[in-house]
Amino acid sequence: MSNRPSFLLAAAAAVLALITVNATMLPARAAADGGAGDFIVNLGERAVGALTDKSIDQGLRQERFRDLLKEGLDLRHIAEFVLGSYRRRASDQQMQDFLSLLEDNIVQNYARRFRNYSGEELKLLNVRDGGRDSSIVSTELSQTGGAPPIQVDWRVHEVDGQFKVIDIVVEGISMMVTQRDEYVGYMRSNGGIDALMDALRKQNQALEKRQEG
Amino acid sequence: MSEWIGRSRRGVIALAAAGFLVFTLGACATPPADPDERAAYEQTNDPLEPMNRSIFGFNMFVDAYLLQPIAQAYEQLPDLVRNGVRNLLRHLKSPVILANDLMQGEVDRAGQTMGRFMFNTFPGMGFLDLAGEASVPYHDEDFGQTLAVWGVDSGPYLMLPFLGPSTFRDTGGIVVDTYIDPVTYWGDNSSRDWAEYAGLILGVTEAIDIRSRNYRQLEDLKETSLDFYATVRSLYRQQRKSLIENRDGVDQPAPVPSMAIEDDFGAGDALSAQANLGE
Repeated sequence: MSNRPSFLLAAAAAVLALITVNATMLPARAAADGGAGDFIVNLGERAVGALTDKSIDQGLRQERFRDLLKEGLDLRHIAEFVLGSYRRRASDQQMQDFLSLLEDNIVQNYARRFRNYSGEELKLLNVRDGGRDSSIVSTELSQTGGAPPIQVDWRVHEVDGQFKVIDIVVEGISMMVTQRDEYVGYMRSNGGIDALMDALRKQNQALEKRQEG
Repeated sequence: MSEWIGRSRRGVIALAAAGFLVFTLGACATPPADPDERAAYEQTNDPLEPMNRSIFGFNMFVDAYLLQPIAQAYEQLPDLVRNGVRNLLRHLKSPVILANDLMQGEVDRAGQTMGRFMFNTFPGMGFLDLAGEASVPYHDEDFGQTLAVWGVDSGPYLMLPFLGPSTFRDTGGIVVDTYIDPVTYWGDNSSRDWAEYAGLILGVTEAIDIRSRNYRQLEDLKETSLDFYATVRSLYRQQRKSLIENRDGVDQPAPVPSMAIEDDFGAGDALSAQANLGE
């Protein structure tokens, strides 16, 4: 493998997991960006507060993570995006099922990572227009052990007056684009959305079993 | 002729792969008739997918039984040693990076590369990155990126044996970089037996170094991805895009791809539908 395909995981860890926030830059920024920067900072603080406690059990951590996920991410938008061109042929029922499988999959994959939080800090850099009624909140995630900080950009838009994250971009690598390319690749070689849902169902079960065991 | 081949193992491997392609075009995937699948097919720009997947399988095998165990052992070395190795590898790439900086008309970045090279040569012999600590950071550059700056399209995706993900354009870039690289000529002219393989040795060392640094993340990714081949392809494309645009500095933030679902996939690159990046 050449290059560094690992940024996605740095992303994952960075993003959904290990966040505390350096809010010193906030007062000056908050007014200018309509609150998008505030929203990200706040989400990060709450994630650290609710999920990094090493004494809580995995079930509770997952439950809290799911609540934050539903509140902070526009899962519907994300689900439609990651299906790529296959979403057009998905029935309402399939869409509904996929949404719930995707949510479970994110919970199973990411909730456990919060346990390993070791004090990385998220610093707000700036907020800019992202086109199509979205904003891009740029942040920098400090690393432990002297590694250079990682740039994490959050694309957010508003749903009924509430900010929601629709993409997380780490050093130019978009988690949603990567996820879409993976799912579309899978659907093309394995027979569409039903095959994808079967695979997700199996993976969710395997992950759940592993956490119990 | 043998002398010519000896010039660059890396280049030759790439050339052999390219030659191999010509004979395996029969292995092309047939474009699907279904419009939705067709959109996905065109977006991935991977007409050689069946062959690429086979080569990827081979690379994964080499990785599991060779690279990964070595990388794990290498990971046990002290940070000082590993960082020294990485610094030296980067140092030796300086001439190629400089040439490409210049061909892209990036005068400032060429200056940084040259400054780093001189600053790091004398006190540290390439093992210490004093320039990096004095905030002249390393950046990568290669002829594939130069071609992109010149307007050459990436062409189809290509999985190279041993070397990993690439495209037609970037594979051509590897060959050209090998011919620019002084290490290649030093190897040809040295009387030491191993010198002929200098380029190969450096390439292998780099692979071990990179693998050891990404060990955990790569394992995680492999475990959770439903289609690891497709994931790697996506990551490669996005990372190249980011490198080509030189969005690796603090003042030039990484590009953020479009997330509008109405866009679907633009022609070619997954990220060609770049967001209006606030410029």
